[in-house]
Amino acid sequence: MEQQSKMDMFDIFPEECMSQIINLTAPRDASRLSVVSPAFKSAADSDGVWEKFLPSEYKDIISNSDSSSLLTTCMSKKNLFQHLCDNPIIINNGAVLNATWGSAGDVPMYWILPSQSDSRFAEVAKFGPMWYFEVKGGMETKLLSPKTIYGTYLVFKFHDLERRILYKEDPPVKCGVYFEGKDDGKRHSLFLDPAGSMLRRYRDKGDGWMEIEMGEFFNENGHDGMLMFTFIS
Amino acid sequence: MSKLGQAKRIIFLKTADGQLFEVDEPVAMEFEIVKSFFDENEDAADDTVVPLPNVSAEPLAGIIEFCKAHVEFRANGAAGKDEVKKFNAEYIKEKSNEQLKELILAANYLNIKEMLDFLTETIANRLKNKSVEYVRAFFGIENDFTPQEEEAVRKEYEWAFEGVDED
Repeated sequence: MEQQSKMDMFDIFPEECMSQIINLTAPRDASRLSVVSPAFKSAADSDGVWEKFLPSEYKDIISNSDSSSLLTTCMSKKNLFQHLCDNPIIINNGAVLNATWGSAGDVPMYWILPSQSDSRFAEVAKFGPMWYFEVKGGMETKLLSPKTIYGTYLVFKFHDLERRILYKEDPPVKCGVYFEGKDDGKRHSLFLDPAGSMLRRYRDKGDGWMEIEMGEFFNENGHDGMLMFTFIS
Repeated sequence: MSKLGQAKRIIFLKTADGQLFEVDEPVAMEFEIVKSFFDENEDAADDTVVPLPNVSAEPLAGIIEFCKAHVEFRANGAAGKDEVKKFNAEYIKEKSNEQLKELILAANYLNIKEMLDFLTETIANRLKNKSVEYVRAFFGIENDFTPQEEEAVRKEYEWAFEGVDED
């Protein structure tokens, strides 16, 4: 009897229940579930499941970016999700982030804004030999998807390796992410060098650019005003 | 329908394993399948026994317990409040994976949306960050991928296998 009910389990397990269960997991889980069996794979790969993992307004986001709108029509939702993980899109052509690149006494000469760079971002600040710097910035939360947890990353690159060695001995930099007017003063310590202790927060993009997680926040409805970040050596 | 001063109407349900359940009408009407039975058979006598050939006694008892509590929550205006969450957490705590599967199959057959939503969410939480082997055991699934096919799928999603929980 027990054996019987086990054998029949997937046959009788309603497909819509299965899809709903997979929907309520996370992209990593859904990917892993596709290895369970061919029947699971077809449920776990379905557009219905992956469309829920995409931001609810993903079509608008893509059409307001410089990425091709063909993305939304020519790919399965699962492939689209993976494509967006590997090829982040710049929303509103990058005109959403305001950053001030400050330094001791706000002497701007230590920051150079090169007109060309190999970064995917429109504006890049190049930091000269300095012992202290401060970056502050913010963006409107209403530009972000509601009910979504966001990570905030610093994307950077060492333009000369000696700097990198110097950073190894430097104290960690302090960074914080908060909503404007609601700064609780909490700051995280980060080592810019990957050999530092924050390995989990660090990602090497393989092209010299690196990412460090500065913090995360939950965007409830986009009514929280400006999201601010600071980064101080 | 019960009239003022009369005793509450009782609905009789008979399970696949032949057990007879007596259920208060508002609770039985949570089951879409029972509700449509009476909608379609308006003249059905009060002591009509509704057969449930796909549900056995154990999961039905569990489902009645759940629906009874939720009908009361709604009547008391407690729907969506912390005491509901507390009840749901307690309710599911003692349930084995096997019981959970029987409950979801029965709730699906009886078509009880609120309970189905709750059960699918519970199962999803139990499967989060679990290994492929765990999920196979959970659903009692024979792996019918060939080793080559499985290897190919695993390779494609290598990143999804880092740091899964121990079984």
